[in-house]
Amino acid sequence: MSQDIEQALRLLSQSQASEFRLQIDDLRIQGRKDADSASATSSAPAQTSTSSADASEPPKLVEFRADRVGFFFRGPNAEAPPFVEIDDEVCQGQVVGVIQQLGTFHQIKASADGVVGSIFVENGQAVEFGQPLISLR
Amino acid sequence: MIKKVLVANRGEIALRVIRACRELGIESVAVHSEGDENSLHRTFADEDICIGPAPSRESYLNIPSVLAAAQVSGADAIHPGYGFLAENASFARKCQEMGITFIGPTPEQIDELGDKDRARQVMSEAGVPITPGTGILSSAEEAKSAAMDIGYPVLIKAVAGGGGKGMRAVESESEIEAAFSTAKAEAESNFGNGALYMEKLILRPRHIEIQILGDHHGNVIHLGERDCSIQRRHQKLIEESPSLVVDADLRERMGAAAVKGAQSVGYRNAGTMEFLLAPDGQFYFMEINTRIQVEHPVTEEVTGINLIKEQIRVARGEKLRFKQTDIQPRGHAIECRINAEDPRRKFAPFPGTITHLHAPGGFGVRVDSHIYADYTVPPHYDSMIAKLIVWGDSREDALQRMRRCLREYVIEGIRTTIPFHMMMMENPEFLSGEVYTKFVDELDLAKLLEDT
Repeated sequence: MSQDIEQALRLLSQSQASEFRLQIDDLRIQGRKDADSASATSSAPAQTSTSSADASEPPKLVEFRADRVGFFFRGPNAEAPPFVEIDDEVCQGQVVGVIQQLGTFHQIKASADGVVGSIFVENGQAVEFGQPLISLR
Repeated sequence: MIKKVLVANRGEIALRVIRACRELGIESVAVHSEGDENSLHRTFADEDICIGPAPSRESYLNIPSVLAAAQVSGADAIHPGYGFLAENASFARKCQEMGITFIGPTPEQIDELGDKDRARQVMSEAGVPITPGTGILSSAEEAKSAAMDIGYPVLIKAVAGGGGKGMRAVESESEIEAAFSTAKAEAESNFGNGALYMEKLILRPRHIEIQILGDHHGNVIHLGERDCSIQRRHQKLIEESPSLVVDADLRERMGAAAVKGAQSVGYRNAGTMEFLLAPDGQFYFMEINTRIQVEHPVTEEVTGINLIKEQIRVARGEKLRFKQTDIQPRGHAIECRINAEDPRRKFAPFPGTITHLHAPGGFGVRVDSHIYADYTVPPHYDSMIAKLIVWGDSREDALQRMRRCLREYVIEGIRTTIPFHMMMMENPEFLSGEVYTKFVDELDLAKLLEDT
């Protein structure tokens, strides 16, 4: 496994990519590359880790907030199962909930990639503008 | 039966309505934008909901947001305050459709009376004197011949207008075409409606308005007049009741005209009929405001009647508690609107953080305000931060009280219009009552304020 990681990271350092997510079996690595990381790549980052490697700063807390007043539902409507649960991965643009305002349903989409860390509201709960709904860890 | 009122407004009027609700044992719901995170009305209400970002268009004027807030909070009534959605017939209609009581007149009344041309027609049919004028003008040519009939000077006005926009005074025929096209363009861009009409321009008029109140059972009364002649660019600055130039006979005639006009449309809830009083003593209907007004406290102080509570009672379907003969104004009340503006710099807005605050007090003093020490006046909304109202047993008594209060009022950290009011309370023309609506615009403010 550590050889796979070494190889992946070497490929990363040679590529133009500045952010990456890597999954090997149960291991997930997510990180960012510094603009001048040329010196860093020559040493082998050998440790397995579930925290970010080669990251220049810790990832910011991402929160999805209500964009309108209404009733929040975890799925496409009151009865349906939730779109996401804690620990699910989400991609930017993915629907993570809906807000029903005066009979019309509005989708709440993830504004970033990540893993669901917390869900602050219950199915059917009334929400106000700007209220935190889901955060990524 | 009204159990929970959502107050679709902010600032001092939101506080005012919330206080009335509390005294009536009714729950209140405040709404606020992100620009009003620190607003006092949030803490005074029983519930509070954030409805949008700071810009009014995305919050206080956003109908789905306000209605959704009513729905999630279970409010069964909405008080719109003044400004914002107070005269939006579409909003009133949507409340009705959702089974929410709109505390104000019917949507049809807002529609009909909000259109100035239509309102003039309706009032004229009811026998209320209107300024000699026209219906909607189809062209500058029509304007020219109308002006010849009416006689110069004339005023070209926007049918959907307000606050002085879409309005042009015309002294002679040579100016009329230009005035017509600029007024039309201004009306279109400000109100989305370029329709214009014409009125005779009354020179040096006083702005006298009559407070009316109607219930859902056909009863309408008036609560006397307010003199709002001290204005700057059509924004009122100082109001008082009674008016120095309105005697008992004129009050009776103007009041009767206002009631007749209101009854002709079955007017419900609070409203104000505005008249122009010409120097020769003739009065003419100008427009009707189908809402509670900023300066309503002046009427409350001289009549002893809580207008917001009466609005809620009327909305509940109750009959008016007063007959016309029960309305007996006593004494004299004056209101000064305190704005976060610098009167020495053409009233430029001056938002910012209030570092020290001490409001005046004592017998006959009322302060309607949402500000507090350390409060930051946001830049997104109108600049009025307080209404200072005094009552006296005579005009002289009220003036003395106002002078004392303006001296006592400490608001530091921002600039306010207090120096302007202090100057006005010593101004000879204001004291003798020789004022008219353009009076403040024509004062040399810079010079006068130097001496304050």
